[in-house]
Amino acid sequence: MSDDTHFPMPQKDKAVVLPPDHSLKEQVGTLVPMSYILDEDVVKDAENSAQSILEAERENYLFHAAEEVGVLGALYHQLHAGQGDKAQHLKDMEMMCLLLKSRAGLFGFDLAEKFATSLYSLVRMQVDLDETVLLLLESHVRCLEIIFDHQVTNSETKVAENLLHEFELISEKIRRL
Amino acid sequence: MSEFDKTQYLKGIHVLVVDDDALTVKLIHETLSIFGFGSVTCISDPQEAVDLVEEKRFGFIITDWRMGEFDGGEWVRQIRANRNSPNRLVPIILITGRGTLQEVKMARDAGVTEFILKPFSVKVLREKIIEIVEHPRNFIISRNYTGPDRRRKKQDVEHERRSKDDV
Repeated sequence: MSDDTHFPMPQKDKAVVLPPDHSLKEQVGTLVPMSYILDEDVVKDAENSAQSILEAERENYLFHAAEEVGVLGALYHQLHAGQGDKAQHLKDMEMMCLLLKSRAGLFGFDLAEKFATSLYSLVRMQVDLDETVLLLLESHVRCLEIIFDHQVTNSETKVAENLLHEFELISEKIRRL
Repeated sequence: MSEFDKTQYLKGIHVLVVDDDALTVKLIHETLSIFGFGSVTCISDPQEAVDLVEEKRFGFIITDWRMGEFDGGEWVRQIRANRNSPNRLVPIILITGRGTLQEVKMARDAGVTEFILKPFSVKVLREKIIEIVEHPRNFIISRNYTGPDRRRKKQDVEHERRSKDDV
């Protein structure tokens, strides 16, 4: 489909359905499957290159992850003490969780990714911050501190995975309240 | 005899990557280059991307959802709604750390073509690129939604969509 295709205006209660745009496929070549072009060798090269980039960035990542967990801890203490703007603290916690979880998996911190995801879900539930919820927030933050203090990756986490499972059960109970 | 370079097929395709996270941009740029895409434009300032997509058509676009206060999902909605945008029909891949069902639905309803959850994965990016090239979907223009057909039917649709007045 060319760029100067006229876009008809939909009439009331009607939708206009344009057929699929194959221009990208035409640029590649209609006889050549993409799976042939992006084969295992190409994927392997790309993965190796990505791994090299990550290895070069690892120290920098660990430094920033420790900072982010530190911010989470400070935000938790503010919430627990009832200081400052609760809504803003929760929003900031949400952002820190997103940052942590986006990168943790890249660097092999799969468990940290799971805890950050669980904390993200908990913070977004916007439940009242009673003692139970505060305890849950504290536990998540504390686990993240331990993970990064000791650089715990997935291979060492049987106990911690069980702990995460318990957290998820408690979060589900709170969600149902 | 030299080995045939398969990646030459992708050299003519221009890709736009918009993300304010330098590491993600570096990973995506490097991966797309190894895949063989001839031209990869990476932008960290979303406002610059907003201006660029009004002027130039891309093969496809990869964008982060949230960049500071900038809402990538809302930006996609605006591209889809703009009859004059050269990228109105272009495949757009949204990449994000947000993965709840509600968030995925929001992205889908904004007119995103594919959705990638962080952390970045070469294999997942490959799958999504193959999907947008090999299986483009119908494009829907309606009062409430403009974008790729949100159903992922593989078979052809025999009939035009009918309104309730036609029944």
